[in-house]
Amino acid sequence: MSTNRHLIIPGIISAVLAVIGDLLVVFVLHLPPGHATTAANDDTFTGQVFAIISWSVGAAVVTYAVYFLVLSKRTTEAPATQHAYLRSHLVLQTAWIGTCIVLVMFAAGLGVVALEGQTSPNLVVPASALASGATHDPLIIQVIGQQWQFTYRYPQYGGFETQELRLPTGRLIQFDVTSLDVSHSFSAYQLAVKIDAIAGVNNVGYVYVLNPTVIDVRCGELCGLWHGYMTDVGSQAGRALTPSQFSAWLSYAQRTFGPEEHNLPKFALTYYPTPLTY
Amino acid sequence: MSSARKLTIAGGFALFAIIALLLYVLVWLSYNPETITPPTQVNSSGQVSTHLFLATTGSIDFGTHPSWVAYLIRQDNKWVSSTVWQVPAHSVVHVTIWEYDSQTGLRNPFISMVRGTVGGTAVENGKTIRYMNPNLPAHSFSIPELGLNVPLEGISQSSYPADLTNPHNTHVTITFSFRTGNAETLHWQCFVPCAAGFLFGWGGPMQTVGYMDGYLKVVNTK
Repeated sequence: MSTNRHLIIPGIISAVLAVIGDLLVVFVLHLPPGHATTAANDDTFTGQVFAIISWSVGAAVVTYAVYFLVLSKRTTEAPATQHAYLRSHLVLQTAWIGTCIVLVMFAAGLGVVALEGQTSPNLVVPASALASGATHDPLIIQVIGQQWQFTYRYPQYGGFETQELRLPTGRLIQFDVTSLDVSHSFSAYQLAVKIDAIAGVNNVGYVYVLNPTVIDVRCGELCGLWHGYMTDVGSQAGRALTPSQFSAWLSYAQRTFGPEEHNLPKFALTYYPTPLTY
Repeated sequence: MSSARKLTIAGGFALFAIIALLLYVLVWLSYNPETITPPTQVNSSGQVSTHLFLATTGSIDFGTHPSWVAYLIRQDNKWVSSTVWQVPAHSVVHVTIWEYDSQTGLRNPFISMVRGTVGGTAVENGKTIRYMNPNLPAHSFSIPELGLNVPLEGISQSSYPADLTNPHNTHVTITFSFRTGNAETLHWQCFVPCAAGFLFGWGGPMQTVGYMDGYLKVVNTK
């Protein structure tokens, strides 16, 4: 069998495997984190792209490896002589290196575009939403990390504080994240948001929620004994609500948590609570 | 690869696995805090309930860290040092806390609000409260997974220290109730940074089970 056929046959097999796998990735597998926000859409799309590339390249590498392993066991040709040397194949080498360069540059470009789209507030709100009347005017939610619970303040509604994260769909959300003690990290899975909570620092992130969803919040920075329990999940999970549901929750929250506002410090981007040391 | 070499490598992996297993068992045996299970009651309508009788003290005065702040639980008419308790699922847990420690204040004043209890309130020395001056708590009893938070007002500095072995000594009595759901293991903690001598007041007893935090095991009962 000629050398070309030894290259073509596994190439066809790996192409078929690649197509099957790629179709599974696109239509069957539900890659995280989902489609609740524009950022989640971007992350899911990025995951699909990398899954397709990885599967396709992996399928080719494994197919060729297995093919030549099987072939070497079956061949009746004489083994190479004692002084045989490997010959280079310029076309194959160029094709392999060129393919790698293209894939890496594509991944880098994709990452830059995605990062810009998720960190620039003017790009977070999709064009279709802007055309329907959405604005760049954000709802500000301050996320306060402390050992070992996240609490949330809503400065545009009197500055009340709550342990319940609620936000509306169809509006740009600005998270102002800080900490009262050690470093934490606000990680909201379905929102595809992860922002570090550092004492004395205000870290800002933006998200645009497309669909109502449960929001599982976890701390993403080791912060002490109960770091693993610093979560808002299950009955305490956050929620992205429709605008009318959010309005109803606001009324409830202002009634319930509003009376506590006079005990809270004036809203600020960072806090330096006493006692700082004991 | 020769058979002897393969045998050596396999033996190495097996030895590593055995040592790892032994270490795991040793750690598990050495860290197995005592679990206290208060008795339960069932009322005429089938509602299961139990009672946690707790106390907090500014220094536990015995054990590995006698100067540490600590929670204790009443069992058989004695105060027992354990912060791992077991309660029934789908039950009402009535809690009585005798607060013997002095006022510290809160790092986050939001913790001064009573949340997650039956009725949204607690009773302090016979008076129903929902909010508290954030400078007054000595400790709090909080189960974030249930949304439960109860600030515990401390005694005045002039009354401190108060010996909890004498129930007539000055203390603040706080009572409240909360409901449990399905069987699960919850963590509870104090949110007042009351660990004297530690940075931010969050080290030592604040991060050691048996003092200012622990587990609440919610279990199914027959």
